[in-house]
Amino acid sequence: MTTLAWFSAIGAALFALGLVTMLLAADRFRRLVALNVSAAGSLVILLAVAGRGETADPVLHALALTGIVITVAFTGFGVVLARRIDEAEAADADAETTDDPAGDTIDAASGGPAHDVEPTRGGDPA
Amino acid sequence: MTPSPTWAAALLPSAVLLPLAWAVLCVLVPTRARRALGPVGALATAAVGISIAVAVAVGGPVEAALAGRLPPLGIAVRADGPGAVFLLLTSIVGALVSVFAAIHPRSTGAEGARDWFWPAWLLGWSGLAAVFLSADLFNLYVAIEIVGLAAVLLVALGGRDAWRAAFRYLVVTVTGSLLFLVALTLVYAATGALDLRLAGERLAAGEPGVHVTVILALAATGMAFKSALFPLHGWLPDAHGGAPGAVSPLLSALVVKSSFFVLFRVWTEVTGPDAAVGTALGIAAAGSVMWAGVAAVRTPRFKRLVGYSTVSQVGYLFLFFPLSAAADGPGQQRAAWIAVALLAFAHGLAKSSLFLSAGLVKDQLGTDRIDAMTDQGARMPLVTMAIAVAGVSLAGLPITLGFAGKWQLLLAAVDTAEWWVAAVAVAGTLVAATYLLRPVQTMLSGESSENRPGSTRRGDDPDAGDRDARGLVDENDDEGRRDGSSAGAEVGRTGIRSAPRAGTLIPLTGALLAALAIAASGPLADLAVLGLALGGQT
Repeated sequence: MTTLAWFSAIGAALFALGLVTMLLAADRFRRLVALNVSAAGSLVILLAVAGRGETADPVLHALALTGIVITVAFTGFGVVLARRIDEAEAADADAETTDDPAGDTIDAASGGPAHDVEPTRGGDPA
Repeated sequence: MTPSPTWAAALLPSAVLLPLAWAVLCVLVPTRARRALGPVGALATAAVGISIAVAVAVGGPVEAALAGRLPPLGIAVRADGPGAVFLLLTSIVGALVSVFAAIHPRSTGAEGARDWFWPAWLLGWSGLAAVFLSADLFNLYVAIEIVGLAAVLLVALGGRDAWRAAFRYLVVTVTGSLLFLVALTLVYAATGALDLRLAGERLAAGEPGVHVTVILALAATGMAFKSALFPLHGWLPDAHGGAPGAVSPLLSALVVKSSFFVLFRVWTEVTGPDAAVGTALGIAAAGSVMWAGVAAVRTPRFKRLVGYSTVSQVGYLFLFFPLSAAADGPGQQRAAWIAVALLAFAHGLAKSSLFLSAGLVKDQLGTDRIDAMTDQGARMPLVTMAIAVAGVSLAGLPITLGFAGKWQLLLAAVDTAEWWVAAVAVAGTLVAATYLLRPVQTMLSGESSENRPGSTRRGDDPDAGDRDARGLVDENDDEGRRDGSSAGAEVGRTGIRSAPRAGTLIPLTGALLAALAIAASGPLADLAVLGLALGGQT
């Protein structure tokens, strides 16, 4: 019983810490990691509840597995999205600093030599 | 209650699996084939959804056991009245928007990105159907997560300008799901069940305690994030405003309601009404209606205006919870739910029409600034008319389905002596009329109209009936003039190129449906309360 309380408390603490960081952080990757911490916290709560009986509850283990899959899905998607945004911002900054009067298209500007990143025009979002 | 036909039970899983399989199919085929394949799958899914709704309306709730096992061992899929109403709404709006997307593919995303519209939308549709048909808490969680991820993907199709809004949306929607996951863990800890009914029965049989309030508060906070309830609404105008023209209507009309529906399920079937959470949700709902309404009056952009309008209308839906908490007996519970279900149905139809119109306006003008729309009504008569009719329905003026819903809401508020709900509903109507009048008035008036005969009638503050009539008159005038002269043909032609003529008929159809559905408000209300569970601790 104390183990259950202990694990639940850890899970709740992780969950709350992740949420607070997620709400306060400005950096996109930081927010994603914080969200992952939060997700881990919720899964710890799941496992704590699963361990309350004599034998572990298989239903909740199945749920935790599903939860992990969902976490991986949104993290992967979020990382791709955050990378795209950062690249687009870098390209925008590049376009501004090159000070090219004809460089109104970002594609032309981001093809400059200073950048090894691909210009992100119209790629597939998945 | 007569038993439902077996074909209806067989249809239930296909409402979820058909769009899912079709989404996978769309990913596998070359991008050019997707544009032909996608609409076929969408229309088939809509047909399945409408069939299920009809089967429920005729034969009562339908239940199916996956893999032949019933709860507590198996996982149930159930179409009861509330689920059927929302499934019907999803099918109608989904079909309309899918047809629109098929004949106007440029509205489905930025160049290159739009290849992914059909897989993402069908995936989202599958999730929506799963939300409305699930009878199991964990299935609800998975379904709401699928809807959220598909919705973020759809927003991201808007191109680089929409990515930032999409990321913010992703963070918000995942946070909401996680809160719900914790809530369902607590339900399982207290009851050992995930089936909605079973968990509700066991929770009601156990000790009433603070854990019920905690469960409900967690679920309510999570779903308030996802439904953009004040003060957690900040992400919605950016996400819905930045999304492609064919995506915004899906998000506003359907996705936002799916999370409301999850909370409705938990509230009615698992925990039962709770006064504290009901009051908190009531305050947030009233804040939504008023705050977002005022923001919509002030915003300079049309799509953001429509987005704020969604936040405001979501507030109306969440008024169900304080009404339900104050209700005395199942009769008043039913009355509150009928009001909110009708409002949700009317909002879904009218809002999809309004967002499609907003997308068309943006296509034609290259911007959605409201001041750029001055006197453009002549160039887009059908779109202007759709905006006017959808606006009348959204504001809840007679004779539209929105009016029927709002009237029921007032009756329910008076019946439960929750006078503040009535006050919010009336004040919200005034604000809605104000912000919905803005685009229509701008499109039908302006300086350039003064030197034109026939389109100079500009009222200071015309009432709605007058406005509607004026829209009709103007349209007729403009059609006549356009035939005669080629003035303004330049802009008109680019507009026609960006949006096929048939495409402009879709929003008008949606708007007219939203208004005329008042004729079906009786059957809809009957369907909405069919098999409505009032379990929990009532």
